[in-house]
Amino acid sequence: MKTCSKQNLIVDYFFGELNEIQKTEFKKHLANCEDCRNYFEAFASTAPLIKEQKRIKPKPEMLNLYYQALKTKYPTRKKFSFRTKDLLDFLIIKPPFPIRIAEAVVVLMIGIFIGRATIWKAEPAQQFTNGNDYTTSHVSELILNHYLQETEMILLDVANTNPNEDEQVFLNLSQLAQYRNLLQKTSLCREKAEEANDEKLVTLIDDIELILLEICNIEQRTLTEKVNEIREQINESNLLFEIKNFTGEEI
Amino acid sequence: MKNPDDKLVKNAKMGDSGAFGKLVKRYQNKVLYLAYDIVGNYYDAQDVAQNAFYQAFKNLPYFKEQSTFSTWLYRITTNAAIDFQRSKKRRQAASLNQPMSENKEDRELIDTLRDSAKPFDKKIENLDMKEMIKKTTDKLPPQQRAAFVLKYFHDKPTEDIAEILNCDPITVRGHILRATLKLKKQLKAEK
Repeated sequence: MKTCSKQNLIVDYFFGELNEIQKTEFKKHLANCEDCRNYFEAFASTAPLIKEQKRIKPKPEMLNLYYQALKTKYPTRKKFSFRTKDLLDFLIIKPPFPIRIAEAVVVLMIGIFIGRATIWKAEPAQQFTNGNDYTTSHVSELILNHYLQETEMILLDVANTNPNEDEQVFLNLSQLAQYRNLLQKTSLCREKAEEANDEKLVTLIDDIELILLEICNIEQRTLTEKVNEIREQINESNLLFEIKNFTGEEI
Repeated sequence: MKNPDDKLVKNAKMGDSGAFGKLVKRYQNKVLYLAYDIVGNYYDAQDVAQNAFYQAFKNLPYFKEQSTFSTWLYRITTNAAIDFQRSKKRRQAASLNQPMSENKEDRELIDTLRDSAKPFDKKIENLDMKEMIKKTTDKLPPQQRAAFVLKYFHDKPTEDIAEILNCDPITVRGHILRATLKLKKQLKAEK
C-alpha cells in the first residue's frame, strides 16, 4: 500500500514544530487527504495520553547509591585547595583580559632585562675578539685605564722617593708628567667620567688633577717643601688606593 | 545565547576534573531517566547511565562541539542503552537454548519462581495506561523506542532526536508515528 509522503509531518504538526507556512500547507493537505486525516486523528487521540504519563520514580536508596557512585568517580571539586584553585583560575587557566595584558607586559620586561643583561656582559668579550673594531666606549675605557696607571706610577714614585736624596728624580717626574700630557688626559678622562655619570670617578680625577698640578709645578728652589706637601696630600687623600680600586675593576 | 555547559566543557577538556564532575551532577537524573525509558528498569538503567558517563569522560577530548554537550551526552546514553538492550536479548536467547537442569534443587527453584510470577500475570490483566505503554514500548525495536521516549518523555525536537540517533529526521518522524499508532492499536485491543 502506498503511503502519503506528508504523513510523517503529522508528528511535527502535532508537537508544534512546523513554521507558519508549513502549518498552513499541512492543514490544507489534511483537508484533502483522507489517509493523513485518519492517521492524524488516531495519533492525536493517543499522543496526549502518552504525554500525560509520569515516569515511575526510582527507589531513594537506589538513587542515593547511584549519586554516590558518580560523585566518587567524578568529584565536583579538584583535589587542591579552594584558594589555590582560584589563583590558578585567575592567573593561568582563565585570566581576565587586564590580567592577561599585565602578564604579557611582565614577561616582556623580564625578556628585555635578561636580554640587556646578557648583551652588557657579552659586549667586552665580543669587542676584544673583533680585533681593531673597538667601540667608542672601549676606547674611553682604555684611555682611562692607561691614564690611571700612568698617574698611579707617578704618584707611587712621588710617595716613595725621599726629596732630600733624589732631587733629580722629582724634577724628572715633573717633566715626565708634563711630557705625557697628563693634565690634558685628565680633562679628557673627566669628560668621559661625566658622560658615564660616574660621580665617584669624577671626584677621583679631580683629586688626581690637583696633585698632578702640584707635581707639574715642582721647581728646583721649593722642591723639598713642595714634595713633602705633595706626599702628605697623596697619603691623606688615599688616592693610590682609590686608583687601585678603579683599575682593578671594570669602569 | 551561550550554552551554560560550554564553559564547563572547555574546562573539563583542559583537564579540570571538577568541571566534568559538575556536568555529571547537572545531567545525572536526565541520563538515568533516559536509560530507564529505554531499558525499562532502574537497576539496568543505573549501569547504563554510569557507562554513558564513563564513555563521555573518555571521549571528551574528541568532542568537537558541533552539537551541544547535552545532545552529545544523550547520543552516548541512547547508544549505551540500545547496546545494552541488544546484548540482553542475546543473553536471554542464549539462556532459553540451555537444556533444562536435571538437578532437583534447580527444578524446585524454577517452580518457586513460576509461582511467584503468577500474581504479576494477574496484574497484567488490569493494565493501566502506564503499564500498557511500558508493555508496548518493550516490544519496539531499540531505535524506534529511543525516538519514542525522547519525543514523549524528554521533549526533544525531531531535529535533535535525529542528531542523537544519527539518522534522518524523516526516519524519526516515522518511528514516532508508528510507535504511537501501535500503542493506539494495543489500547483498542485491550478495550
